[in-house]
Amino acid sequence: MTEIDRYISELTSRLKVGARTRTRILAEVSDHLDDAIAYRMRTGERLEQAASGALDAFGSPVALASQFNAQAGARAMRRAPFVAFAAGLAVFAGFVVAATTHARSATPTNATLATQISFFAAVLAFQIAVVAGVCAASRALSLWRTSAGRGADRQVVRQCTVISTGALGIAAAGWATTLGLEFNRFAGPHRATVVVGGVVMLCAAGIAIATMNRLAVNPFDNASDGSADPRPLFGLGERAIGFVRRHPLVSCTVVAGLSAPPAMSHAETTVAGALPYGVIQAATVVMGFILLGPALGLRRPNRARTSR
Amino acid sequence: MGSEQLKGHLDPLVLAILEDGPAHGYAIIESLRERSGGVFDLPEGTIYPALHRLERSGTVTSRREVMSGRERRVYRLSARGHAALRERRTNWTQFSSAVSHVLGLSPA
Repeated sequence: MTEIDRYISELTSRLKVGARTRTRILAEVSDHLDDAIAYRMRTGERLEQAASGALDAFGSPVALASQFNAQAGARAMRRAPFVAFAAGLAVFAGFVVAATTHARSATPTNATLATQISFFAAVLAFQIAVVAGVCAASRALSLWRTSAGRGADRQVVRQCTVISTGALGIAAAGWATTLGLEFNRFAGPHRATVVVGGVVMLCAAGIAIATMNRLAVNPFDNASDGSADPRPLFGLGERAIGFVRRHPLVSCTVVAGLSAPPAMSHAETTVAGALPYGVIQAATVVMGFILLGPALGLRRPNRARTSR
Repeated sequence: MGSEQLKGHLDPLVLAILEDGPAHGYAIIESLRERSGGVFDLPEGTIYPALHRLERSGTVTSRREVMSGRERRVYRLSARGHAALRERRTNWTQFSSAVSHVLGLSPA
């Protein structure tokens, strides 16, 4: 194996880009090195000397791959929140189809504890998916015009999207479990609709998680090019996140307070009976903010933990 | 001068070289070195991420064609690239003139 072969082989292994882009990059690099070697040999250098000089002048494969990876990562970063958004819509649509059927055909008996737990867990997970998805989309939009940018920015988008799709998977599984537990209560003709709704939810969540796994966001590759300024409108979400970071207590209290009444209205007909649902919803918002806030960029990480 | 000092300036330099006519990557980096009197001595590989970035932004186009007896990917400036280059020249003239004034390198 020649020095050139080793270089190409290392570059190939470090590139995290699509197959077509990789082929094109490798062809261009090979052509360039051929030209450089030919030029050096015309000036009197021997082949090995010319190859070694051409590689020195070309630069390290690690740095080159990092620049291409950062560009590919920026494109993947822009796509990721929208994949999560489409999957969220599909999961929600599947649930609405199944739930509408349920409302028409269920017998008016109380739901079992298992059904209540799976349904409520799914609702909470779906809320996490929405919040994380909005955080990911806000960051991606604020970096829309950058060709590559900082790896740390892409890392935040990836983190938010992974949390969003993971929560979406839990929501789909929770709702599917709810439907499965209640399956006997559906009239015969409606069962097919419930199955279709469940399958749509699970497939959408599964496809989203698989797509996220394949997207090369490449957070550890930085590019040396300058970044473009974001358009003012594209930075709105980022400014809202900035407000939440500056006023965490106020933001958390307002969201917890606003989210409690809808949870109560869906759960029971009496205020006393519905109160536990409102309290659980509000407490979950607070817990979610405390536990997931730093990962979503909504809260500064714990100082004591980060300083260690 | 290395790639760090050229950060943010490489794109207009490449566009300016392509203004003279289509060229492949090796010819562009050679031309950059030559026209800068050897001052811009970048790692040659640096040119390719820049070219890919410019192509995605629509300022250059590329296709494989035979040049100097061999098939290679040849880049050329697009209409948008010409406009972008004009804008970068105007911005650079204003910027460099302001810096020169502040540094006392030219009469105010």
